[in-house]
Parts: sequence; C-alpha cells; structure tokens
Amino acid sequence: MTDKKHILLIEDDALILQAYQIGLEQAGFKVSTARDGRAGLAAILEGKPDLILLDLILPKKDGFEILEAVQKNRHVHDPAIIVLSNLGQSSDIERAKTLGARDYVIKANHSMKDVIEKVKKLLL
Amino acid sequence: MEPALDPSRSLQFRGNFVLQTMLSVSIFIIIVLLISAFCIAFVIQWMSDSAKTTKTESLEKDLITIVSHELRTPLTSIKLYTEMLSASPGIAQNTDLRLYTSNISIATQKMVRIVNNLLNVSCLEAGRLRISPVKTDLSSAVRSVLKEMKPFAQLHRCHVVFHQSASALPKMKLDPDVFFHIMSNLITNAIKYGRPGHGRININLQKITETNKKFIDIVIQDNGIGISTEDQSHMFKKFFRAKNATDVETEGTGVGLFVAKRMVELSGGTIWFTSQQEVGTTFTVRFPSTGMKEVTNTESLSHTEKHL
Repeated sequence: MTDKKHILLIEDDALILQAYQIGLEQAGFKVSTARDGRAGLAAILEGKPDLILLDLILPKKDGFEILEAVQKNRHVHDPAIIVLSNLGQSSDIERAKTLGARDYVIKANHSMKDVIEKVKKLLL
Repeated sequence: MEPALDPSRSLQFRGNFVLQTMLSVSIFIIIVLLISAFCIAFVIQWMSDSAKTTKTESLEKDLITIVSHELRTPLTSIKLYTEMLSASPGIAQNTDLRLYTSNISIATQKMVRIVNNLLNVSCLEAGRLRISPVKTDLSSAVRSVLKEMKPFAQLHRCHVVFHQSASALPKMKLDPDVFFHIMSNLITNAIKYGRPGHGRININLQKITETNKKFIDIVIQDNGIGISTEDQSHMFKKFFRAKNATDVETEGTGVGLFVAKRMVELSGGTIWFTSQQEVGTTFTVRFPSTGMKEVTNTESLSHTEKHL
C-alpha cells in the first residue's frame, strides 16, 4: 500500500524505539527509524516523513537542533512533530513547542495507546 | 599571746599574697584559654559536621534525581512491552497469562509512580517547581479529582461525598496539575487509612473571612484510623510514616504529605489537620480566595495521570 502515512522515529534507546516501531506498524503506519540526531536529520531530508516522533536527548545532534532545522526548511517540507521526552520539564516542552513541535509525550507516563492516538489525531 | 607585728612575717605574707594572686590569675588565664580552645574546637567540629550534612544531603538529592531519571527509560520499555504482551492474542485468551501480565503492569505502574514521587520531592526541595495557575471553577476541579479516584475508593469500599457549597464560589486561580496532586494525595490517604469497609469521606468547600482577608478552605474529613498525638508533629516530615499507618499498609514512601505541604505553601496556601485516633482525621487546605500564586520556575510536576 503506497498511501500509508510515513512516520520517522528518532530515539536512541533501542528497546523503546523497537516498541514504538512495532506498535505504529501494527496501527497501519509505515515506520522508519534513526538512533541519533545526525542520522535523524538525514532521514528527514531524504524520506520526507509525514510525522516525526522525536526524542529530545540524542547523541550527535539533539532534538532542539532537529526542530530548528525542520523549521528552517518548512517551505519545502513541513512534517508534524511529536516530541518524546522523559524529562517532563515544562521549559523544555515549551521550547520545543515554540520551535514547532505539535505535541509531546512523556514516555514513562504515556501508554502505547496514548501515543498512537496522538499520532492519529495529527495525521488522519 | 598574739605576737607583735613581725616585719619579716608581714613580708612573707605579702609574698604569699602576690604568689597567690599570680597563681589565681594564671589559673584564670589557663581556664579562659581552655574554654576558648574548647569553643574553637567545638565550632570547627560543628562547622565540619554541618558541611558534611549539606554535602551528604546534596549528594542524596543528586542521586535521587539521577537514579529517577535513569530508571524512567527501562521502565518505559517494560511498560510498553507489557502493554503489547497483554494485547497479543496468545495472552489475551489465556486466563493465567492474562493475570500475570496484568500484575506486571500493575507493578510497573507502581514503580513509575514511585519514581515520579521521588522526582517531585527533589524538584520541590531544590525549589525548582513552577506553579502556573489558571482561572478554575473549584467545584469542578474537585469533581474531576474525585472522578479519577473513584476506582480506588471503590476498591476500598469507601464512600466519598462531596458537599457542594450552597452559594456559588467565585472562580479562583489554580495550577491544575499541582491542585490534582495535592488533592489526590490527601484523598488517597483518607481512603487508605479509612475505616475498613465502612470508610466515609466528606469534602467541603468553605468561604472564610479572617482579619479582613478572604480565603477558601477545602476540608477533607475521614472516619479512619486517625493519627496518634505523638505522631502528629511528624506528619509532614519527609519519609515519615505513622506507626498505625504501617500496620494498615506496609507500602508507602512517606513523601505524600511532605510533597503536599510543600506544594500548598509554595503556591501561597496553608495546610493543617486535626485528628483523633480511631475516630478520624480532618485535613484543611486554605488558599486566598483569589487562588494560588504564580511561581515562575523551570520544572513542572512529574505526575502520573492515573491512580491505582
């Protein structure tokens, strides 16, 4: 199926990455992944995903740098971004939102179901 | 016979006198020196002791923050995979396996809550918690807390009654997360330490005017095990748990009331209680009628949205 929405997952923890990947694929999305910020940015430019699930603390390039890069490139490609965070610091969340993040997930507090619902709300 | 004044003796006497004076002066000086030496030693000891405590305390706080943050990542994985397990057909159709996975998820949820509680403690202690009040209808805020607590109350067969005030209350400024946290802490305690099987909790909202200032009191009254007189003064201390509370419920970190009090006070309110053992406890939270005061800090609460 070619009309599947494309989600890019950028998350450095392998287990969490795999869990979201399986969950989102089962929910009917096409999912690609990146384990660090630099690979993530490359995957954004190349794959042009419809939505990005973005961790904030990442090796090589952090989530904020990616948000900035996406914002600069908005006129060409404007994906929806949900920030994945485990910090829950409102200063971080606000900063992410001013940089264009549409929603955020505190990983330890949200279930897979919550995440899929948030994704669907932005995509469908 | 009294001897006549003997000049030599008088000299000796004067010499003795001088010697004695010198002796007592030097003893005095020695005592003063000793005392000051003791004082200095004591102060040095005290200073190094207090330095040590602050150092240990800050180490402890750092440790709490680091460990809690680090725990969240593997906990997230456990939580996600348990969720996936319980949704998979092989498990969903097997009663035993369904029970096991459901128990794993209950335990995980509990652990997430403990970690969040510890994070909230360190955040409050470091003075980093932000309070962002918004205009809220107090009655509906209380009702939404009660809605969340309903399964927990039912589990303990506890009857929670919210007495709506007859006269309408004006809207007040409340930080929804902080308010939820304070209230759910107090109500959880009232349920947990209520009369077994016959728990009853009354919640009242009252307008109070004291020395020309207007307040709103939120009163939570239970008919539970109460708090002994000797434990009452320790109730808001960190990690403290009352003896009769540990008899009822061995689990508990003893940070609930500590966190609640810090939150109430940070946002400009006061909290107190009256209690009688085997009769019940009444907690009162008082805010100015305008509501919570804003505190511009960096961190928001690490809360868990659902209670067990």
